[in-house]
Amino acid sequence: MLQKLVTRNNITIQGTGSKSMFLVHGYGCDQNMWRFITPQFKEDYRIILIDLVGSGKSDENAYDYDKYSSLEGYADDIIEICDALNTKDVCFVGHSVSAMIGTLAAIKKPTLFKKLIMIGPSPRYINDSDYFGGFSQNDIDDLMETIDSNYLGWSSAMAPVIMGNAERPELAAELEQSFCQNNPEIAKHFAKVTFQGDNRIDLKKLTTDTLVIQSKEDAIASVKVGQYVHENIANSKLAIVETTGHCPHLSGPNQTIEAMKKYLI
Amino acid sequence: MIKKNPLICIIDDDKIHQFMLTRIINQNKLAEGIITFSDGEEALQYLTENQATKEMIPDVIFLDNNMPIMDGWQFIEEYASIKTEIKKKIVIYMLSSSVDPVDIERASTITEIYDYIVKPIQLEAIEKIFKKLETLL
Amino acid sequence: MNYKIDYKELYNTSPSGYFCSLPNGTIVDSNKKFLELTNYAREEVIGKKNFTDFLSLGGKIYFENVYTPALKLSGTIEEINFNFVKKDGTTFPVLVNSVEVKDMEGIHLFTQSAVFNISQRKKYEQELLIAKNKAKDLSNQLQEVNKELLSRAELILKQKLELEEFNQHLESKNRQLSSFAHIASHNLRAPVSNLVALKNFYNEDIGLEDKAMLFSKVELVIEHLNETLNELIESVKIQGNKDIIHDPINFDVVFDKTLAILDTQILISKAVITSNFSEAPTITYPKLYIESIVLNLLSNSLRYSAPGRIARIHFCTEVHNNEILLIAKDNGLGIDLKKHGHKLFGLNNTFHRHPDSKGVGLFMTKTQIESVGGKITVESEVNKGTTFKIILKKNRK
Repeated sequence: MLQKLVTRNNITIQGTGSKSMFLVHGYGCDQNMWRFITPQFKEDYRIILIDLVGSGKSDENAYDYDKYSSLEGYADDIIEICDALNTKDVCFVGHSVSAMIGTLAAIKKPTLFKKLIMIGPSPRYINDSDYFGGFSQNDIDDLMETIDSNYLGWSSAMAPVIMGNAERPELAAELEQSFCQNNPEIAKHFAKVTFQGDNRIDLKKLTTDTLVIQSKEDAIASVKVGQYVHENIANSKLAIVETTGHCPHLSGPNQTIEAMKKYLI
Repeated sequence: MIKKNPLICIIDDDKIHQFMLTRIINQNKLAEGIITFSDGEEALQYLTENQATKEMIPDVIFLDNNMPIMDGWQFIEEYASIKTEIKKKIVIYMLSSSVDPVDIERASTITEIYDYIVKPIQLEAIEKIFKKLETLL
Repeated sequence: MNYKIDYKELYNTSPSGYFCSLPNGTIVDSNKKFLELTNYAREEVIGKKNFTDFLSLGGKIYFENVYTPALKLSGTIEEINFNFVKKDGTTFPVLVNSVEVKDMEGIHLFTQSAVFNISQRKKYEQELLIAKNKAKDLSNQLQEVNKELLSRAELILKQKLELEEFNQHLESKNRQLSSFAHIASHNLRAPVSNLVALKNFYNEDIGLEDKAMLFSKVELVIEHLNETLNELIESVKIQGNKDIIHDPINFDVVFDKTLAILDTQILISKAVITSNFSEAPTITYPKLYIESIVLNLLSNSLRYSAPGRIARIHFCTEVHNNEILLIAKDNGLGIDLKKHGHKLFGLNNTFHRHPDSKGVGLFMTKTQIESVGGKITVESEVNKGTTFKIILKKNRK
C-alpha cells in the first residue's frame, strides 16, 4: 500500500526528527522547488516531499481527470499519505495552490496538521465583484495558450522515446536535468483547476494554526491577496518577506527560512 | 374349365375391417375360403410352414400396410425372399386407410404388389377385383 | 591574419535580441536588436523595465511558476515561448533562452537572455496545429463511424441468430404439423372408414339380430376413435402449452411414488428395481410430465420383461454438458430397432404380441419431453434389453 503511494507521488523522505515537515510544491514545478529550504530543517524534522499527481516524477497514469478536476482530489491524496506514513505532529508547508490543498485536507481531518505554512497563497485568482484576485478569464486563457506552446522537451512523439529509452541514454540524462517538465495536457488541466478555482469560503473553515508567508512583490498572489487570506483564517499570522516573485523559497530562500524558523519555535 | 373360387387371405389387425371384408366376400360367395391374420409375422409363418402344400396357400392376399409387429411393407420384403419356395402365384392387394401419395408411389414400385386399394373397400370394387382374378389365376 | 574584433559592437549588432537582467528582473543592459523588436528607446528600458513588463498577465503566471523555478534550479533554460509586448501594446511571439551568470562563490549576479522573433514560425506552427486538429477530428469521426458499423454488424448478427432460432422454431412447428397430419390421416381415417362400411352394412336389407351385432361393432369403433381423438387432442395441448409451470422436482420422491403406484405389478413380476439420482438429484420440470414419463417407462419395462430371467430395471440421472439426462435401463425383451425404430414413438404402435400393449405411452411421453425442449433416444437389442435416454433440459445460453 505504502509502496503504491511512493510510486504514485514520488515520495522522498529525508532527515531525522520526531516531528514531520510535509512540503508540497505549487503549480508548475515539482519537489525540487524546496532544495534550498530543506537542508535547514533536516536535523530537526523528518522531511516528507512529494510530487503532486501529474507533476514531476509522479505516476502520470494515476492522473484521473475526474478525481483531479477539483483540489479535493489532491487533498484526499495528502490525507492518504499522512495515514500511510502514520505521521504525528506535522507541519504542512504548501506553496501557491498547495496552500489551498492543505487547507482542504485540514478541514476534512482537523487533527492532520499541527501547523500550516502557506507560501504565496491565493484562494481565487480571477477577479470578482469586490475581490481582487489579480486576473481576468482572458488572462487565464492566455496562460493556457502559453502552456500549450511550451513543450519543454515534451512532445507527444518524443515522450515515449525519452521515457526509458536504453539506446539513447543522453536523452534520458537530459530529462533528468530538466526541471518542471510536465505533460502539457495535464499541465493545462491542472492550470484550469488551479486558476479557475474559488476556495474563499474554505478559509473560514480552517481551524489549524497557520502562517502566511507573502513575498513583497508578487504578481501572481499580491500582498492584497495575502492579507485577505490572513484576515479570513481565524488562527493565523502574516509574514511579509523582502523578496520579489512568486517563489520566495527559490528567489529568497534565506528570508523564507528565517520567517519559517521564527514561526516554528 | 371349372371356375374355381379363389382362396382368400386377409392380413389386417383391424378386426372390424376383417369382419366386413369377410362378410362381403361370403355374402357374394366370391371365395373358396378365407384365412385371416392379425399381423404380418403370423401370416409369414403360415406361408413358410405350408409352402409345400399348394392347397393351403392362398391365391389372393389383402394386405393392410399399417399393422403392429410387422407391417405390410415389412411383410412384402420378407415375402419376396421366400416367394420362390412357395411355388404358387399370389396376387397381393395392398389395402390402406391412407391416401398418402408417398405410400401410393411406394406401392407402385414394388413388383409383388398388384394394386393399391383405399379403405373402405366397396362391393363394386370387390366384384371387379374378383372378375379380374378370373383372368389372372 | 589577425581580425580585430570589437565584441561590444558584435553584441550590439547581433541579429538576435539580447538583454541582461538582475535576479529581481530589472533590465540593466540590452542590444540594439532587442530594442528594435520591442520598439523601445534605450533610456526607456535600461534600469526602468523588468523582464515581466514585456509579458502579458498569462505569460507572467507562466514566468513565475515555470520559467523562474526551472532557471533557478538548473541554471539555464531554452526555447521558452512567450508573447512579448511591444511599446504600442501589440504582441509578437518569441523564443527565449536564458542563463544565470554567477560569481566565484556561486552567487547569482545577472541573467543573460536571448530573444528570437518567431512570428513566421508561429504562423506555420498554427497552421500545422489546425491541420493536426482536423486530422484528429477526422480520425475521431472515423472511429465513431467504425464503432457504429461494428455495433450494426453485431445487431445484424444478433438478428440473424434470432432469425435462425425462429426458423428452427418454425421447422419444429412444421414437423409437429406434418406429424399431426400424418397421424390424423392414418389413425383417424381407419376407424372412420370402418364406421362408413358398417353404416353401409346397417342400411342393407338385414335382420334385427344382424343390426344389433353390427351396432355393437360400431360401438367398438367409436370407442377406438374416441380414444385416438383424445390422445391427439392431448398431444396438441401439450405441444401448445409452452408456458407450463416448472416445479422443483426431486427424482427420488417421484420414483418412490411411481414404485408405490406399480406396487402390485412389481410384486408379481419379482423385478429387481434400482435407482441412483445422485449425479442430478433435482430439477425444475413440469410435475405432471415427469411423473407420467417415469410411470410410462417403468410400466413398459415391467410389461416387456423377458420371461425366464429376473427383470432388472435401473433408473438414474446423469449430467453431460450442462444437460440433465434421465436414463431408464432394463434387461427385457428389447425392440428390433431396424424393423420398428421409425415407428417407436408413433401413436398406437405396438411391437409385441402382448395382451396389454397399447403403444400410446411412448407417443405421449415423446410429446411431453419435446414440448419442454428435450429429446428422447433409445438403444435396444432383441432379447437383451432396452435403454431409454432422455435429455430433460437442454443447455440454454
